Amino acid sequence: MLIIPSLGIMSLFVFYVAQFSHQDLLLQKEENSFRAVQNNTLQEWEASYAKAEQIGFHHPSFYFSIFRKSSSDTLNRIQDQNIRQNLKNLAYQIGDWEKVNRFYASIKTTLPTLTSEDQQALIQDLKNLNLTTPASGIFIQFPNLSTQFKSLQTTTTELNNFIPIFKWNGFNNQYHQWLKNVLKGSFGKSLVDANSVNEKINNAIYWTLLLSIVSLLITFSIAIPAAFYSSFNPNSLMSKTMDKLFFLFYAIPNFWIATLLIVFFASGDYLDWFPTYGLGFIQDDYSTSQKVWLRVQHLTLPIIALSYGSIAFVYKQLKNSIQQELQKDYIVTAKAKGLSISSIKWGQLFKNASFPLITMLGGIIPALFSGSFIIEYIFSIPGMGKLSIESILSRDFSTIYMLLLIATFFSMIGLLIADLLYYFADPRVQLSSENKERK
Amino acid sequence: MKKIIYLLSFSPLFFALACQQAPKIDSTNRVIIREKNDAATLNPVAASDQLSAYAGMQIFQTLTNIDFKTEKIVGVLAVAPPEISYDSAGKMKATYTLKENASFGNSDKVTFEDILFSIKINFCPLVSNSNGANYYSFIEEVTAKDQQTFTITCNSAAVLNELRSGDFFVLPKNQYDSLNLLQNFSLQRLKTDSNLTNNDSIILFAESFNSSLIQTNPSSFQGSGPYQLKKWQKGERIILERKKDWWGDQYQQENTYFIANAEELQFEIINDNQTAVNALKAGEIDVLNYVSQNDFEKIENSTNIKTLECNQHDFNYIGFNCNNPILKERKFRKAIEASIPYEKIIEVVYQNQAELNRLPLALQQSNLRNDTIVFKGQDLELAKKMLAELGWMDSNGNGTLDKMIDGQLVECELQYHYNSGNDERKAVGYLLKNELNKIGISLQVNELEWLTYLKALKNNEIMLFMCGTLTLPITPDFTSALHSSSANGGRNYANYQNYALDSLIENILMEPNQQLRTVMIKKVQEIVANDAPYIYLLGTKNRFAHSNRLKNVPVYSIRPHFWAAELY
Repeated sequence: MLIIPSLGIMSLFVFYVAQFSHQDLLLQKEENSFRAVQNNTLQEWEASYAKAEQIGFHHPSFYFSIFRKSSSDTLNRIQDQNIRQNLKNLAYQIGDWEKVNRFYASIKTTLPTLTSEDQQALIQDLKNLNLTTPASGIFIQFPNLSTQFKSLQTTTTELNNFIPIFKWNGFNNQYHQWLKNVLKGSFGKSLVDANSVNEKINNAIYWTLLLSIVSLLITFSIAIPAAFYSSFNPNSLMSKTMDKLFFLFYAIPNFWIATLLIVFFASGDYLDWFPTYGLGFIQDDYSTSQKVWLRVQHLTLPIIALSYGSIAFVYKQLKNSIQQELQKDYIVTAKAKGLSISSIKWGQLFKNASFPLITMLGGIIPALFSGSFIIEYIFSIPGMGKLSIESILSRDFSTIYMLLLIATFFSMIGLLIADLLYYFADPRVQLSSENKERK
Repeated sequence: MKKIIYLLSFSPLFFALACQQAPKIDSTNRVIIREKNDAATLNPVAASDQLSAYAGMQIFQTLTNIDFKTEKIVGVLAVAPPEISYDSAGKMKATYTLKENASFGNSDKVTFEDILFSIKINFCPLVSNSNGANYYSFIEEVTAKDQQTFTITCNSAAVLNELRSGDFFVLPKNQYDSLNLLQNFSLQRLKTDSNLTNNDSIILFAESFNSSLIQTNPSSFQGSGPYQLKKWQKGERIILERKKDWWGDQYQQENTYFIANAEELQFEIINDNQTAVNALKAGEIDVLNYVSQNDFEKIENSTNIKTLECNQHDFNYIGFNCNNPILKERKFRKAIEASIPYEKIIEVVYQNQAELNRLPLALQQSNLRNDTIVFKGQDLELAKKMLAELGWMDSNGNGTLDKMIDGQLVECELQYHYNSGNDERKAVGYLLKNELNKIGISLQVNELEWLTYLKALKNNEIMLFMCGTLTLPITPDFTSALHSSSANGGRNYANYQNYALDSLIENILMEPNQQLRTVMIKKVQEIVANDAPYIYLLGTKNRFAHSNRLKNVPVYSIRPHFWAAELY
């Protein structure tokens, strides 16, 4: 039952982090541009307003706002960080937002009447505005602006800074619109390349799921028999070798193994058996078997790099668990009853020893969808992990936050599934509410 | 369980089969180039990343551009560089004539209508055009003599307009504006009318144009260049194929932009640098650009790889925040200048892959460099003497110099910032810290995330920093780094203000006479060397590697240092 409020809190967190990063995106786009912006012009200013409106940034952020009486809840509509901060400071200093807003409105109405050089100068003045300095620069050329600025300098109603205002904004707010779209499955557009985030995630999730599921199957199909063998034959050479080998696997980081696999099996320095990166290029005339084969060749090394650590982990956990179970009375009883070793292993022992597997499965489900950052990046596999890294590096916030939300959602689903599996594996595990009733 | 064991017994077989020789693409006429990240679009008008711009340049063309080989302005769609004249108000008029047979992929001829449309796009509100409105704001009017000859009137006599008036990409109007939505909007109106963001035609056009940018189908990118999109697998590769009977073939001898040897250009997206090096070794890619020093050393001796180096058109420098109470003293800055270990930076940090460059110009622009300025190397004794003359001494014996400023004892403690991930800047910071420590200045080296770094630079929150500037072989524009108008929030991060220099910088941009311009450019270097708001350190080299399969691989100092179509 905690899933819904947890998701709600997470969605709020994701939304607000995204909100605060919005201005940085505009800054970043400017810096990335091949033709750098030298100064602001009115048209550029208008364009940034239009862009903000396209994003819906002109609406209030949430269902309600709490702000100082001296300030305003509409400051977010001002796109330029310096101007917004200056106006906010002005409002705090004089305690009268209405007056500051009138001054700002006068500047906006004056701008279109100016030459582009004067527009730039006025916008620059506004960016450098400081109440403690006398009206200077281009303000002086406009008596209206100069008078208003002087009037601001003489106004002080600081008491307004201490009066909180609560305002109900209704459903026409940014969070509501965002949540509505997310629930409808519409994740919006990438802020970097304007591609649909849904499309990006759809393309990436296929490869991540393929990698993760194959890796999971390989992990379980190697680790489980190995753990059983080792538990039942603890003194065998095979068991001792596996213990040492899997301990080594467990200790080695996967980015290093991934690089070694490429160097030894793909680069041609030693062997040239596998391709070094990617999924391969499928030519138009390839048959289905050729396509499958190409993918198998390209995915072999990434799957090995993804699986070896999990194999070691599952092996160690399961072996410990089996060894503990083997000490218990029911195993002795089962043996005394004449049950075959195979039926003891798979009928009773495996079920009771499978708790570490369930724990791992709970953690694997979100990983299935979010992918392996390092492996996908090193092998250039266009999955969710690579998408996450690319989105972070390019500061594509709309994509990053949806990936974060998806990972959160599947983490919760994973925990829920793990809880249910614990219950099925051992019915003594009860939901907390039932425990309370029994008490 | 038995079934699982049975299946597992086959796994070595699967492995053995997969272990067959890795597939190698038959790349006889295909050049495979490694790119670190995918392109956002192939329309260079909206390019905001390296690959968008570079791959887009193979599909679309400009009127003129700087030739990689000669480093001079050459005609691409235009017959030649523009004929320059000035009207009575002193405004520059650049007259272009289009090459007669220039055409787009669909065989439509390039006409004045396409030129006007391509200029208009830069000013059209709501269109994603990578700040084109600002860059091309100098264009006042475009008038046609006929469909082949037209004149672009600029708002001033600025010499850079000779290049800028012709460096926009020409898009086919019929394809991008088949409904003639922009037809009724004059250039002047698009530039000035701030209400156009609510205009239905503009909204419709912008939606249609912006949606074309993110398509991956070949028909969305039809330009006049030698290549067209064949396949774009997002996040994996972009393949461009050479047009059959391309109109530009007859101009092959004219300049680099008409050389198209490769039948296909394949841009492979490989994020990890180490994987890219291994892919080059394995013969899966042909070209690897911007190779790091470490990787370069690893592959230098590979038998199937050739390595190349070229000087970049750049200069790198340490900047001082001139608003800072300590750093605003010219002599203090000169003292730091005297304590910089220039040779050591080049040798240790750049491992000799850089050259000393003490001027704000690329080393290649030798005709503009003021070689009469004498720069001394590191001289710690001189630095100490200068600091002593300024009154800095260790009065409290704590090992750091101090001085009374405004009645308070101020310790000589400075902070140097660099952007995270930039190892060279980090290493320079620590080298500087060691040297400054020897003369009693304490330097703290701090790392900042890129956006935070930029923001802090713009907000004058950084005392010392290191930056680099990439340049082009044209008249240098010192406005952004040195002009007062760029201080306090602009790109003059040192907040250096010298009004005599301002007018000199403005005059350089307006002076049509090359010789007079050169004199002024040399004077700027002299003033900056004297005032030392920035200490220019070095010019870097680019490292490049390619497979032996390629026989023709010229490299150039202009980024990205090679013309992909030229390789074979």
